[in-house]
Amino acid sequence: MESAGAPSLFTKKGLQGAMMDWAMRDEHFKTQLFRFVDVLPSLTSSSEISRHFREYLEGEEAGLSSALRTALKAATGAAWLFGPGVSSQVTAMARQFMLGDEAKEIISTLRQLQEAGFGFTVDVLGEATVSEAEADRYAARYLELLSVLARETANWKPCNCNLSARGPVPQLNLSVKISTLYSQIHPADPETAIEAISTRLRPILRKAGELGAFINFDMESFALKDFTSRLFKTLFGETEFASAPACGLALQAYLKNSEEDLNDLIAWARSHKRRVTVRLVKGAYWDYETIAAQQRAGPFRSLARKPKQTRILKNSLCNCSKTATCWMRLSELITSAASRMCWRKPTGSASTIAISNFKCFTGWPNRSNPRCFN
Amino acid sequence: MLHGMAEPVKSALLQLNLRLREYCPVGELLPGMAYLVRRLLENTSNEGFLANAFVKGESRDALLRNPQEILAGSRGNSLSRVEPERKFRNEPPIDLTITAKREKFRDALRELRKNLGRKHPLVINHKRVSTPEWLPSLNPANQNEIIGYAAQATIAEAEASLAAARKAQPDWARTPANERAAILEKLASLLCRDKVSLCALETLEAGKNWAEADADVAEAIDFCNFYAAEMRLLGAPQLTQRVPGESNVQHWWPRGVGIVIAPWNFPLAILTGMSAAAVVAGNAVILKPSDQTPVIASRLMDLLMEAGLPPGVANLVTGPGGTVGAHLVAHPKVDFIAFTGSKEVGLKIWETSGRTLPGQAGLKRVVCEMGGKNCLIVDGDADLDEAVAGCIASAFGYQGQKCSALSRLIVLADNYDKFMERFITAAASLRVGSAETPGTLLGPVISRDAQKRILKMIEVGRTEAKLVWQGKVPDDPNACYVPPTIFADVPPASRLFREEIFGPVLSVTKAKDFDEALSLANDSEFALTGGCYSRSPVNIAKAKANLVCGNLYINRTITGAIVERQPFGGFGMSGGGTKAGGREYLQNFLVPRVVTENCLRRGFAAAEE
Repeated sequence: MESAGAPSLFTKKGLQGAMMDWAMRDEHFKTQLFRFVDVLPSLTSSSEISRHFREYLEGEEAGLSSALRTALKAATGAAWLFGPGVSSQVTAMARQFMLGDEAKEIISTLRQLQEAGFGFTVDVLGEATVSEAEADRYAARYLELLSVLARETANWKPCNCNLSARGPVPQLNLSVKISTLYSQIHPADPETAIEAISTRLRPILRKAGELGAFINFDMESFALKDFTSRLFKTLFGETEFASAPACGLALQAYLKNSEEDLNDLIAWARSHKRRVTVRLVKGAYWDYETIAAQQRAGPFRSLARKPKQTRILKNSLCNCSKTATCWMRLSELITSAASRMCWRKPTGSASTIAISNFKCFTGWPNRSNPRCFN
Repeated sequence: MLHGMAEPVKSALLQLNLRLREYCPVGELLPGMAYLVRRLLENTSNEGFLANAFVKGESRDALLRNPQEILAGSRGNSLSRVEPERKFRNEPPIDLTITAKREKFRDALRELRKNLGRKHPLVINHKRVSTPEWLPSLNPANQNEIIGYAAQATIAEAEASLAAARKAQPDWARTPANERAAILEKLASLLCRDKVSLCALETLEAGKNWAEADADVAEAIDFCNFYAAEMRLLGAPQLTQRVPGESNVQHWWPRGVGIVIAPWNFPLAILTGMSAAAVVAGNAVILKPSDQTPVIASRLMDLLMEAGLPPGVANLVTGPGGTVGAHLVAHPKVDFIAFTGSKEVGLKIWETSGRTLPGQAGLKRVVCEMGGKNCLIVDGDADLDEAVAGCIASAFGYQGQKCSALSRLIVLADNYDKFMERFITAAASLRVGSAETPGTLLGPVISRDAQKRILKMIEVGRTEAKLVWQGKVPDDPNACYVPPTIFADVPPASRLFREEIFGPVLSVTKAKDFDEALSLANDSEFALTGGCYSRSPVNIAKAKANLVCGNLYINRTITGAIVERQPFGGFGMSGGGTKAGGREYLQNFLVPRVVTENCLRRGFAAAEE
């Protein structure tokens, strides 16, 4: 792996590289920089961009050390004084992780991936859904993406990723965030939300079925976890979707009850004779969940000493160092699932769980479990 | 694996001939920025494996350490910011994502329905006192459903309750502070025990939806536990200054007997908070709840008795505020009044209490919390995902019937069109209906009178500003619905901009820059809550320094204050500057005493204690 060279974000020359470097050395600078990046796209004029840049990074009020300010000035030069310069830097940074919005850009990146031997799943980024009109727009966007991608990828040669021991795996893979499909999800009334989301999802599933595409439900915040599983089981339990489209669900390694959820899903898959793919992810909401749980539970003392304070901390979040814990849970879950699926003789149409994907970044697996990458 | 991340790991996996799928986000840059920030955070995290490998150049052995070892070293470290041990903890909300909890809520509503329409007498000296007159309390969602009947006290019962309180108070004042605090803690545990049934009662009697009802009961529990903890601290005499040969100690005495006049909008929390604070401080009180929510008050009175409060320390007097309430407020034998309600009544109480009558023992203390005309500024660079949701919740939560509710929204011109488009479609997506239907956000307003009054104000608004949106409500003649309404281009001189409406009616005004927004925001006689959504550090600092209100919220809703965390209360025409749920609140019900003793006898001082 060492021979592969550093991740490209760290090898960036010039400003971007310097920014990342400083961000890793100075927590305050990191906060200021990322807050600036966060606000940047909503700024419509150069003068607004300059003002925010000053407030976050340049002026006295930004509170950066004078050495850092001098270095920043030297490195940024004139480019930062003009809005478009900053914007293009950040856009370039964003390009690294996002495929863009134009069908052409998307297709061209996916093609490169395919040629390099990677499969893909497409996730739609966007604003939070605060109204029903916005939920409709998301549903339309998912449908449109399916059509466009199906048309464009139809003649691609399957890559390694899409050939499994059990036969071909759908090439077209779409990840759906269920919170985008209804604006009024309320914990007191999951039934209405399931109804509303199902109404928007059925045409998407129908189309995915016709196109031979794969639909994955992404996992979001803890409050939506059980709800997402329930929706998944409800919809894919319907006669129409009993065999198509191919489907999967994400499970978050940082949740203690993921194992329980996994077993539950295996049982459901068996009883419905349905093949379900589990995408085991580290989980992206750690900080949010811990903070939210602490806010709910009032003055926060010590999780280590008092893990009983709230349900989520007690039952759900592994309460210690984030990366190491997640890796341990990943390896535990994988080995536990692997023992279920690999060492059991496949019987006819019996359903299986395939651990298909690691959506994770940091850390390293437990060495005592070398199996976990296989 | 995520697109754009950890390329070395990916190529290593490919070389091993493993199947690999990339997670590829597509979309516009603008809404995608949160995703970018998350990726950057991961890339620059100190725990990041690749960053450690390629940037910090850690050795292979260090990188491949068993995470168990890393954990053993860091356990209790990253997540255990230890704060000093304190007694008080906030009551967490009910987690309604759990099916069993939702079932409990439904069961409680069913159970409650079997017991509606009972008579709720006065309680004087722990004795239930019936009256010839009874006033029905109606379900705002169904005016044919009588929740219960409240006894209607006359001057005679008011006098009797006052006599009972006066008689009980001296003994109660001599009860050690710790014992008084223990009774309050007992009350908190009883409120916890009956939590779901109290929530159900709030749903039917006050029209609170499940989450709002839960928040109100949780706040009542918090008040009891918090004031108990504070009284334990205040109960111990405190040294004022250390000086040889003299002891100087300050301690607190209760004020005596008071009246607690509470509103219906937080029917349990506010009544409990004001009563609990007064009582734990060693006073005796007469509870005078709102006519709209007497059954909840009666439940509280039952629990006060069950908690072990001695007879006469708390008495319940329901009845017409104009006669019975006014009589008590003006009474020379009353030492203090704790009031939360409208500005109109508050000012009357303030004035009456200032008049000293023959036979009056002292100056009356008035804790007076009134309304607001609360303002939120949406800056040109605000995060609209957050701002839209926050403004919706602040303006329309509990139908805008919170003292803290948003009623004047000021939007910077830069963001105006984009914000309004999303805001109005978001408002149009809200679920409207009876509060007991789970998942509704907007329910009926409290009463027929309130409905008429708000509808009239909307008519006034039509002549003053532009009605840009009005929602639809169920066509149910038995319910007190008011359609949620948004006015734009509201001029600062209009009634719409100046008067408290206490309903789901929002005024929007456009501002050309942040300074103008601030001066618009401050153009009000009220000063209760306020807020701003902004991502400009300079504008946030300006708001913090200049927005005139008792509770300022940045980048979040302006409702939902939590006990101890956000002591709540305003100034100006919003109140006398007292803070419910704050550290100093108990002092409103106490007088400080300082005792100085010369410890020198013929030049000889005792060894210091």
